[in-house]
Amino acid sequence: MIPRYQRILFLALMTLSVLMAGYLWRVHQRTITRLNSISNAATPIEAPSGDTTQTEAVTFLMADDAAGTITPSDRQIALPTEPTIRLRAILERLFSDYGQTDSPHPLKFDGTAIADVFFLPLPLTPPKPPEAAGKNTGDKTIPSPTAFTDMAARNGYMAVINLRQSFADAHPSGVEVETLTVLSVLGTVHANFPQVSRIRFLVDGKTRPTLAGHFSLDRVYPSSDTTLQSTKETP
Amino acid sequence: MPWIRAFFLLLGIPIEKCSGVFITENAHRCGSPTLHLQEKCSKPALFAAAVAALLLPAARAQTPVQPPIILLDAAHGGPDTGARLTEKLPERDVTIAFANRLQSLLIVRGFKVVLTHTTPDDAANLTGDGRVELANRSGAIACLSLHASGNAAGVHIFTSALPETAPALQGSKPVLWNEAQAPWVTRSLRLASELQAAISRSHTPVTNNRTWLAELDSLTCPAVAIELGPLDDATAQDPTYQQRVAEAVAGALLFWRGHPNAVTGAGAVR
Repeated sequence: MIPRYQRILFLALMTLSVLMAGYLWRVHQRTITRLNSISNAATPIEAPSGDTTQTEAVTFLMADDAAGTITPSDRQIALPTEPTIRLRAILERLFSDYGQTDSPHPLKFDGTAIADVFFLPLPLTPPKPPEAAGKNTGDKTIPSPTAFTDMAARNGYMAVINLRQSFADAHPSGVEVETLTVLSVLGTVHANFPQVSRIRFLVDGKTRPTLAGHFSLDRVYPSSDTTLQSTKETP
Repeated sequence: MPWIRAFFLLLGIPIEKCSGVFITENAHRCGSPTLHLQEKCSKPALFAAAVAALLLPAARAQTPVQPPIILLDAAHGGPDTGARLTEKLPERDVTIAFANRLQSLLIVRGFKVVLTHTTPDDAANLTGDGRVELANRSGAIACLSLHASGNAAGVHIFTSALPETAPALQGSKPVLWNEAQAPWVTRSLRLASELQAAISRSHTPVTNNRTWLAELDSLTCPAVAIELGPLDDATAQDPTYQQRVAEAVAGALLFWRGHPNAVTGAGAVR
């Protein structure tokens, strides 16, 4: 015979267990709901700010294989304000146009042509400390053997354009076609970034002797107007 | 001695002051003899000079005149095949064929031709710097780098894009290897202009631009690169097309031979 107080205790404990199980189930459900809400609510990429929605006129220097010319062409495109991203966007657009099948300077490549673009302030040598500079004021200035190539490098920035190897490897080989590609890039940078005085190319972060077997790609080029009028003499 | 002066002037021999009596043959440039005569010379010495002057025409006839040298560098070669003009036609085969064709035309016009290599396999161990050293030592009045392409139509002439500096006698001061062409750019532009005019007269479309080519930038001679592109239905390998361009180039070089800018360098080497 089970005493009365034991039956009451058993029922009380049983009721408590059921209540606890119910509570645990409810907490479990709430946790699952919260985790699901976090994963589903992945923060969307911030929409471009108002700066990029405004289009502006950009000058491209477009190459033409048949005529052997490089001519300026203005287009309205939306650009970010940050200079390196801006230059990269301009050059990507330039190469995108060359990638079209009906381009007068057709270049076939997969993916993007530009890996990275960055600016370096000139001159590249570190500035002298004030005391050292004061000490050397009476010294005779020895002209650098590369003085004439450094003349334009005293001010402004050097734009370093890091091309993708897939682009360089797929570039057509020939003196004329390689020259037109590089002059088109140099002229486009000059037209849109007057603060850039020198331009250097890398391919996947390394120097490369030639673009596609001819044009020297390991030099530092002056940023200048590379517009080429037709010099073609036809019979 | 006025009568001696009159005698030499009658012979058409210029007289210059110097510390002795010399009769020299300036055969290096033009082959014209020049007599250097001291004003206060002894009579026997003057007599010897007069006799020598009488013999000069014979000596002039016997002195072999060096033919002007043209350097031809067929681009690429060996493992470097260059561009692919068609599926089975590498650039190196076209450039060497064009170089050999041009060599024959230049030899019959009285030039001495120096080739960096004569067959594609000859260039197996020839580096870019090796070609340039060979060219700079050749003493050429014109250095032509020959290329071919399957892209842009017609003939394309290129000179170095290095900034022009004042023409200087080579060897007078050290120059940077990859900027050695700078003092020669003005002459190279002139040569390119002559070649463009001649090729245009041969009814072939031709352009003339500047570029950055390592092989041009290190040369110490009037230097241009010539690229043969396809023309109508013909590739750069087409013999008729090559012959037409080669004859135009050879004709232009014949004219260049007498040009004041057709000078040679001492030969920069790395």
